[in-house]
Amino acid sequence: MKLSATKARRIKRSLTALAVLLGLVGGGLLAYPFATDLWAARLQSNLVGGLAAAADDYRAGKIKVGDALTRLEIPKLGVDVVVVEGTSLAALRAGAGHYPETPLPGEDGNVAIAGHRTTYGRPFNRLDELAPGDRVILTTPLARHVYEMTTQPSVVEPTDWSPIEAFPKNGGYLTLTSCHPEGSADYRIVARAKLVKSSNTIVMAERRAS
Amino acid sequence: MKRPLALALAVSSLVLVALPAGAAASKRATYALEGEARGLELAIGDQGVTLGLALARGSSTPIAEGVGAGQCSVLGDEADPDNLPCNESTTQKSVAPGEANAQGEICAGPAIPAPLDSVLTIDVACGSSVSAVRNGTPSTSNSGKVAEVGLGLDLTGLIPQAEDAKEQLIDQLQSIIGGAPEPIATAVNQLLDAIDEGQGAQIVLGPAASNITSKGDRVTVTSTSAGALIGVAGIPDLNKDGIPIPGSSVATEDGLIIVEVGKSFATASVDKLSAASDSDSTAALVTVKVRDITKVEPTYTEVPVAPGQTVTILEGTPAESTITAAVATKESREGSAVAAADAVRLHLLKGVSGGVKLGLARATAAVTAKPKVLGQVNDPDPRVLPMTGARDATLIALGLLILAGAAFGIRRRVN
Repeated sequence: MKLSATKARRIKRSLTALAVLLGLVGGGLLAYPFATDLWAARLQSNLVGGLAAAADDYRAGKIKVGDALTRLEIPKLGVDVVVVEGTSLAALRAGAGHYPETPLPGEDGNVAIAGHRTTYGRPFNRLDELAPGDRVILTTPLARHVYEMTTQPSVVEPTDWSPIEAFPKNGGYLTLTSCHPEGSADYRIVARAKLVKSSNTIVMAERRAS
Repeated sequence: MKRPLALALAVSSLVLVALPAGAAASKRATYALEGEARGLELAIGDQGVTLGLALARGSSTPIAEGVGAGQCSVLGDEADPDNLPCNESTTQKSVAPGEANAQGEICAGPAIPAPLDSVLTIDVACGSSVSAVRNGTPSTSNSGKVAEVGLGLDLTGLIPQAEDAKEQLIDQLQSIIGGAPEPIATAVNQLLDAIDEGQGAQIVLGPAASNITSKGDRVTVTSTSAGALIGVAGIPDLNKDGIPIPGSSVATEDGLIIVEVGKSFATASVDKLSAASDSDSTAALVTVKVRDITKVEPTYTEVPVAPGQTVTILEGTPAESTITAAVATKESREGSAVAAADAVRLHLLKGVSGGVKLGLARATAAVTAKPKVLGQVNDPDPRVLPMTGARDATLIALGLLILAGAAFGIRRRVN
């Protein structure tokens, strides 16, 4: 089929525009996870310094949403991330955020932290690999708290707040949540650990200094 | 121009197929399931015990919980899982998601309350319970069981001494096993000498189990009670002088009456997406056998008992026993489905201190469900846990890039 020169030019122009648009959107989608990882890494490097300087705010209980709250380490998974206060979309760009309605690390009750399974550094990418006995360490400006996993991680509906809210037992607990399965937000995976040891980092530092 | 177009169409189809995979998950029903199975409920006078109990509960929350118990005291019609009068050392409970999911089986010698402990012997009772939530769906597996149950009944009162009562027993046995009255009369007199050396009653009981499982979009609660073999008034072997040999009786093999109770089954299931529910049940079949005591080798005559029917054997004698066979029911209506296999009821040896009452192989299963589509106009927006995992868009991105390439390909061919 032979087209007129004007018509052919018009079609060519439209196809070029379509191809460029599709290419940009496709490329953007492919690049998105890497871009979020870079963003989170940049935020993390700022938060490390912020955490060290936050002892007074922490003592006063005045941590603002988005500010560094605690360092979270999971030796088994190679996770080492600074957790910010809050679980809003903006706060969670740092990778992991503390549910503001739950106690602070080391306190009695259920400390809950949400973390990205994919994108934004994906600190909880391998949360499903945790097993009873595995350790999760929270280091705040004031103290270091060691938690130990008590059960295998379980999966709940996204609307199920019971792992965060309903917790009748005495003692200190830590609940980590993330999306499940990987690459989907259909469910949430929940890992629970019990506080087994706390040590005062400031006292230890002072001892070391003396 | 044809090849790039075909490629573009193929990629578009791939993207369209990939996209709705997650969309279906937003339409989910709310549902709850519960099941219960009991192995044996035994009562002598006003004392009773339940042996083998399994409970299962699950919901779309999702929560899964269960109980498996080897021994409990008398339960009402509806057992309350939060307040079970069960022997803790034979009871395992589990809940998920939770702090301490029970693993494996727990067994112990049961603590039988007085005065039942003087007649009832049970070696060991066990309970097991494991619950989990997998991919947002509850699952739980629970069972309760006991090893062999022995009933040390005083059988001396079983065979009447008075002549007219003896005649009554002879008539009754004759009506069941047939045969001439004379050999039966002789056999009854032999039985009179031997019966107090025999085993009172023996019950071999199968486990009771209640489980919640899932396959595809279907979640199912299934309760089963594996039935029992009951031997009553064991008749011992005789030596060459016609003297009964102590300890030679096994009531389930040589008893005057043997009752076989088959497996009962109740199940109810629900579709996680559509909330469609269904149920089914099978009542335990009962076979009653009365021993032909005129023969040395144990030989039995079967007395048929149809589902729901009550049969009385050896009526008017101390060994009079009533057997009521179970019925199975199932009911499905919009939003619920219930199935029940009623217990087989036995009242054995009514003439021996009021007799022994048994309820066997009861199983129930039920679901309630309500369809729910998240995001509907009237559906309040639920508060969700923070979203921390973007949908994997690699396939869509690749599809778009291939489409872009195809558009360029087509462009080059346009003249």
